[in-house]
Amino acid sequence: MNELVFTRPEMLWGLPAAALPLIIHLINRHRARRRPFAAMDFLLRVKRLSARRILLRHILLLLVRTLLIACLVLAAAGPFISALEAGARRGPVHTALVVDLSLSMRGNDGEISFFGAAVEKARRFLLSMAPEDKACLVAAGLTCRALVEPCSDSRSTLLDALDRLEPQWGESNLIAAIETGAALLADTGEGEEIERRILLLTDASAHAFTGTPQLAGDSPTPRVVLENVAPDIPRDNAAVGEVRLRAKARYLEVSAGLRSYSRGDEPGLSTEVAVGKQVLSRGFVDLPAGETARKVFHIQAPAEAELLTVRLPRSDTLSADNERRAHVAGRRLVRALLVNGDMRPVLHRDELFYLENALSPAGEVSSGIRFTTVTPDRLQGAMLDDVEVVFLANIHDYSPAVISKLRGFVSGGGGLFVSLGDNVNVDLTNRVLDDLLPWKLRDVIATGPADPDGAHRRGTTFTRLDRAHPLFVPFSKQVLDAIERVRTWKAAVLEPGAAGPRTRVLMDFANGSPALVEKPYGNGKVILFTSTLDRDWSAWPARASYLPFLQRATIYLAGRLERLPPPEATVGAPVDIPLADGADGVTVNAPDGRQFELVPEGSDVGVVTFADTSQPGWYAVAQTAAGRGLSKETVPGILVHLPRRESDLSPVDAEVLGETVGKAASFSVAGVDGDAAGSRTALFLLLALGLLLMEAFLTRK
Amino acid sequence: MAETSKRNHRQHGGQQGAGRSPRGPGDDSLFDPEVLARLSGLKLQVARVVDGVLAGLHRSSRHGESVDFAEHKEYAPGDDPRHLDWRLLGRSDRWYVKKYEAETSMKVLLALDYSGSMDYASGPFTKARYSALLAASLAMLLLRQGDSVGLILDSGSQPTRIPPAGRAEHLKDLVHAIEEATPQGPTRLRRVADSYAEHAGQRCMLVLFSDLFDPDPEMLGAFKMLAARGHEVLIFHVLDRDETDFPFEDPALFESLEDERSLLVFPRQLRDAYLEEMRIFLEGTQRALAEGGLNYELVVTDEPPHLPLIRQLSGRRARRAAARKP
Repeated sequence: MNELVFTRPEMLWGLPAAALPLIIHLINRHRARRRPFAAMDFLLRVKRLSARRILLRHILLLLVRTLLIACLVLAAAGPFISALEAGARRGPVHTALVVDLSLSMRGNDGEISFFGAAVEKARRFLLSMAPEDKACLVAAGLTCRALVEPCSDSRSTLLDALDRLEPQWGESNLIAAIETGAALLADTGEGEEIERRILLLTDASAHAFTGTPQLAGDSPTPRVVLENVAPDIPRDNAAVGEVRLRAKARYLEVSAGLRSYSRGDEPGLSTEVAVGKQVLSRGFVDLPAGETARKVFHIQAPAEAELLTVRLPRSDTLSADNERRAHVAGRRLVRALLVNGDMRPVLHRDELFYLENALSPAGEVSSGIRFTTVTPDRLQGAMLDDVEVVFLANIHDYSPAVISKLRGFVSGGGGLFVSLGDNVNVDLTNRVLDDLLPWKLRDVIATGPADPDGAHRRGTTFTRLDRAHPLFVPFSKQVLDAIERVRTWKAAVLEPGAAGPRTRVLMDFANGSPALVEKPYGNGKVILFTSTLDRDWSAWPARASYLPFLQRATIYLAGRLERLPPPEATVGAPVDIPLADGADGVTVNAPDGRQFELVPEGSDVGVVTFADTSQPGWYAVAQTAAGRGLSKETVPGILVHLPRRESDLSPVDAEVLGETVGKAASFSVAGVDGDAAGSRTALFLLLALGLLLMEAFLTRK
Repeated sequence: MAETSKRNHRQHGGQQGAGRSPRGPGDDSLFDPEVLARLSGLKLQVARVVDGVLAGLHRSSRHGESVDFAEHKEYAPGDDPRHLDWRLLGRSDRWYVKKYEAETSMKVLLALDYSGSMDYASGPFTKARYSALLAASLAMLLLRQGDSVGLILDSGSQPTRIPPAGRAEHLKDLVHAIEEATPQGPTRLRRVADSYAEHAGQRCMLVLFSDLFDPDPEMLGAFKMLAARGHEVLIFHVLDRDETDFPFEDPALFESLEDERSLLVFPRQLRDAYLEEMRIFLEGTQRALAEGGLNYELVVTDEPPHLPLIRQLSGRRARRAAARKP
């Protein structure tokens, strides 16, 4: 016998409201106004004549109003008669309810999401279970999880588990879910009369079915029923794909790939780039059906690091994939202080003439470096507060206060570049700079006659460049070869065996003497160039390689090269986060506010793996040492994107799926709970409408 | 609210029918019950109504003369020269004076039903007060033309009776008696008819003001009997708009004004039946009185009170004129 059940039984608490008409009638009766009236005989006569008719209409009206309210309450409670119970049953039915939680289930028909429809159907199914039936619940998301196992006949347990389900942002594998369901059903007991069934509640997007289910050979074969929760919903969708950023001299180029999963062309599709809610640029693109298109925006590069969002400002079947984010590093300038130890009135003879032109050949915007030049006698410790890199070029002597401040500056993370020249007193420099120097100076020697233009190939050349060092990594072989051809005729030789700890030679002269050495100092770095930054000792300032090398050295010393672009991943995929020097772990703040403390595991060195990328968006990363935050960073965060496959809502071919699944289990498509056919909401609403009309008719009279 | 508009509409319709200029003696807004009710005392109200009646009749009544011209008489010494027909003198050089109907004096007994049911009002006037205003106005008009006017006021246990008299000061007595009375008790119109029959002489006329809400089925028969005996009977059937339209919406406990009866009524359910019952009552009454040769005037208390008087006086003149034609 079919049973009338309700998807929202709590609404039935409204049934007592059906007594309202009677209560109102009684209240009116007692609260009737007293009204003196002269023609009482008429009223009495009329009342006597129509008493029976009036009483009948009264009762009818009360009945109609009571039924009207009752019908509305029942309709709100979601009544339905399950078709599952109809027909002959041979025995108990054990069902593994598989609810698809993948991103595509966030699609909607304008009123309810596919996920909402699946939960509704699951609820109806559970409510219509016969007492001897059992069910278990499988959540098919990034992983397949059994939420209720073993199969239970407790509706409340199953409904509670169902209520806790939430749609996810990743992919799902429903073939794996079938295997999980089959395994659960295999444990529900013996008995040939038990009918085993796996009910897949899904939007039936084709991408969720990959492979063939592998079921245990000795377990009973279940019947797989595919319930498409969105059978008649248009599957048209468009998504924002890869977003590429390219920094130009004065702007940022944002190139967004758009993909159509629709059956129709979309000419003039509106697209925009925004930072938060502020739209930076908007444009239109023609998106042919089923194809891709690319829209390029040119925007002003933000001064600080920002998350750009490229989006399609509209709603379609799956709106979640209508936007994609990209991280832009910002254009914060490197600030440098140049200390000029040999200032000259003739520009090209000035110690820093070539350096200044190299650091800012076309203004600070193009190079990203802003510098200030001072002479040694005007150098003050306070000047170091606002800079990240200091160049000491051909300095004779230093004030002790400045040297003290300089040590603090470098150990705090600043960069120091020391170059030599005729003003440098080797002994004085060794004594004053002391431990700041990567290597003690021994003497200044001539390696050949002066050759400022390098035309006579005099002097020595650079050799043994440390091409793996970040300073040289980006340069092409031609540039590096060009550096090695630079002639230098005068340079300092270094004291043998007087290299500081962790000193690294980045470049030698052909005569074997180090030309460029580096040493970490506290959190900062010091680079010593054993020749001059002008053309007094070397022809390098006149060479093309001088400019990019000095710019790169400046950025390197400022610590900017160590910042890598944020790693990007798809929801559910693990991400490696490099550790900064001195860091022993990282803290990751997820978009939903959750915080994760991560430390390297096992053989991982200098990297931690973050796996809980269950949500799309920006995961901020902070380096930690001994549980305390570090100012250093390797990556500012992690950018997690939606899986592209989920944007394709094309339904699976039931026949093909039947053949695939049918190799392991029997397979059928279409509703088992009769959904619309079983729903009685419309019937009750229709009844309520009829009663409303009847009420209007009765009160009109 | 809708009912108010309806009433106003009716009132304005009546005023337009009178066709008077605004604010003059013929301006009907002056006779609106709402306006009349602001005048203190029945006398003032009566004076205003009488002005309206006279203006409505298109006659100058400033000299207090009869309004009904009857015939010519050859002038003889002692006749009032004011009554000379100057036009006829100009045409024929003969001296005639006009003779008026009123000069043949008649007795009129005004009968006021002051039962409890007459104490109902949805507007400024109860039916009793409205009837009193009509009666007193008519009395003033009759006294002005030299008729004798008496009063039968049926309120409470015994009807009050004031014998007919033709003095102008008699109006004070009538008004005083009316103002002293309070509507109360059941409607007993047969007692009014009996009282009239007992005291009326020859050539006497009865003018009754009542809502006719008398449960006595023989009530109308008594008045028809009077008409059959040669008495002229005029009945002003005074009703309130609530009684003719039954505009109530909310459930209410309707209580009788004459006894202890009460009834819980959902007006919307009873309205149609009530209106049908009222229609049958009015048509039956009108038909029965017409068959008995009685004059009948239905009056609703939201109507300017001079209008029903004008209708009756004009109709009476027309009837007389018709009766004089060979």
